[in-house]
Amino acid sequence: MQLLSDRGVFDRGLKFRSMILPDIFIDQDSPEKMYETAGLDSKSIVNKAEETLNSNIILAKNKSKISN
Amino acid sequence: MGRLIKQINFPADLRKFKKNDLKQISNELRDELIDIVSETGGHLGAGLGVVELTVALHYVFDTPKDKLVWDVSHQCYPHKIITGRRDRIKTLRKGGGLSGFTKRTESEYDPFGAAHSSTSISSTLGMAVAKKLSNNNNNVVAVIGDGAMSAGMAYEAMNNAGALKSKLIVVLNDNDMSIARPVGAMSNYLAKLLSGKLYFSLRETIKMIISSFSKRFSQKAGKAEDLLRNIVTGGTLFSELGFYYVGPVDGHDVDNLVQILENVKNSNHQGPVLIHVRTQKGKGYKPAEESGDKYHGVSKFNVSTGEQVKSKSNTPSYTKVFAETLIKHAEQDTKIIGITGAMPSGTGLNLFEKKFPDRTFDVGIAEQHAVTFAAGLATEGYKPYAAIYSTFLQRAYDQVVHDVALQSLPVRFAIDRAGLVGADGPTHAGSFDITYLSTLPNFVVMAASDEAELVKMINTSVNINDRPSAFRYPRGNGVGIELPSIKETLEIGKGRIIKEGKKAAIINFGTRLDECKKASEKLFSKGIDCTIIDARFAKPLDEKLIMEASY
Repeated sequence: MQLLSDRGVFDRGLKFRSMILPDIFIDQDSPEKMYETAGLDSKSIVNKAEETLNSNIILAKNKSKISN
Repeated sequence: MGRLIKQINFPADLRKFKKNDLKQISNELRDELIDIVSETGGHLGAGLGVVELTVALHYVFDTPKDKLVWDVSHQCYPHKIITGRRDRIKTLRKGGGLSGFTKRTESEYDPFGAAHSSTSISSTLGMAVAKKLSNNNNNVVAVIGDGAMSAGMAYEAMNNAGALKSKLIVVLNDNDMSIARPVGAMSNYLAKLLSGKLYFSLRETIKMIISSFSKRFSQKAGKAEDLLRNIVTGGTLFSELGFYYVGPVDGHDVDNLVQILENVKNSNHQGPVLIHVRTQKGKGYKPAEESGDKYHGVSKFNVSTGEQVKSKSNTPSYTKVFAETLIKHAEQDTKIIGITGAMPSGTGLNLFEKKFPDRTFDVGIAEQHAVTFAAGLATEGYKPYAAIYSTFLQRAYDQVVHDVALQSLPVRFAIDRAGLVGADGPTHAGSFDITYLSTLPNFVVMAASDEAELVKMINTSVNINDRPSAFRYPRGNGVGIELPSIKETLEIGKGRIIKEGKKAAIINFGTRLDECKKASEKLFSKGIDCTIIDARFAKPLDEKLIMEASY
């Protein structure tokens, strides 16, 4: 993510999401369940991808155009 | 369930019984423990070894006001049964169930959470000092195994405790076992203490306690007792560190234990006391007593035969793939060294050791030492493989930073149990290694997405001679893919494209790759065509590949 921001990739509007272990300690369970809780299973990946593609963020420069 | 034990839900119930019932209560508790673990699986040998100790400690001390801390705490199942958790005991290690370790949020009888070893003397010393500062007379007791005495932290704590005059009782639960056979000079020393004379008579032991603690005894009488002690035990390291040493004591004689603990509890001695208790891991269950690992950790088993239900898998575990690949390299490269911190079978280094006993070092539960020891080997041109679980490598972070990374020494870190591990829960989760290693200059950080990739990463690491490298892999079995030869290496910092698509890109690091593939299939069926990239390296990053994916 740092690489992408350093290279200015976000400036041109790339949609990026990171999926990492959440900021909690996860209690014991089967590993599959634990990854589900962590949101790192295939279902979570699908949801994240869809949600990201569908999200409609108006970039700052466009926004200023709109308000002008 | 036994007639007496079923009346005991809390230590207060236990204390209503007469002393001469304690033997039967212990036997019944042991049978109950065997029944429970046969259904739940988990740690058995250590719990069996401390049944009498558990009963005696809760009988003598006023828990939970008196604080009782179990080191590592895999031996805490009998403690959990009689501290209000019998009704949930069969949920041990299951989702939403009881933890396999002591846990503060679970019970007021668990004053300190544990699971990593050798922390109990430090935590109880803190409690003892806090009690002294607030004029609270309750007792503080730590139970620590001889295996845990191979870690430096235990000595740091004793060094500190010996200099402070706070009342602290440390029970050294000496079963002459760690998870594997105990290692190191300390283990030999303890064995020597035990062999000098098997046990003092109870009268002798109690007389010694009184002579040391009571001001009424004349100086001369005290000296005579000291002399007797020194003749029999040759003096002890613990005494030199400022502990009052009591023992060795038979840890399966509950009557004796109770008397000795009562004497120590009622003494006015200000300062730490160490009670050396001899126990047998797996005690009272024949299949456990006879097995090499004393049924340290078991799956469900048949109580009458001791036979464990092993889930069969056709695919090899990552651990085994690591061990077998390293063996192949070591056959050709005499510089390769295997290092483990008391986890020879857990890391697969037991297989390596069979082939190369002279190039395998089990350093004890001593990750800090393991890492700097490896760094020393690297300075002499050797290729040390420090095989340490992700969660345990946390214990050696400054050694990784200061002794290895800063000097860019080519220590190879084989990081097993990376990621979420299941039944052991958060204490053993390998959650942080990617972050804590990738922030370090000079490091090469790799994660295998399947066992074939693991082989390639090991192959690659053999030739990384100018800086540290790490490869991480999870607990459990691989995906069943064919393994490459030991000649196939990776270009450092190069990821791979699994599949090309147009609309989105999923960048994977490690064994979540399977889930990424599943997700990509689902997305494809919804009209979203994804690229999948397996990064392979968290450091150095494949910048070119990632930038390409961003277009």
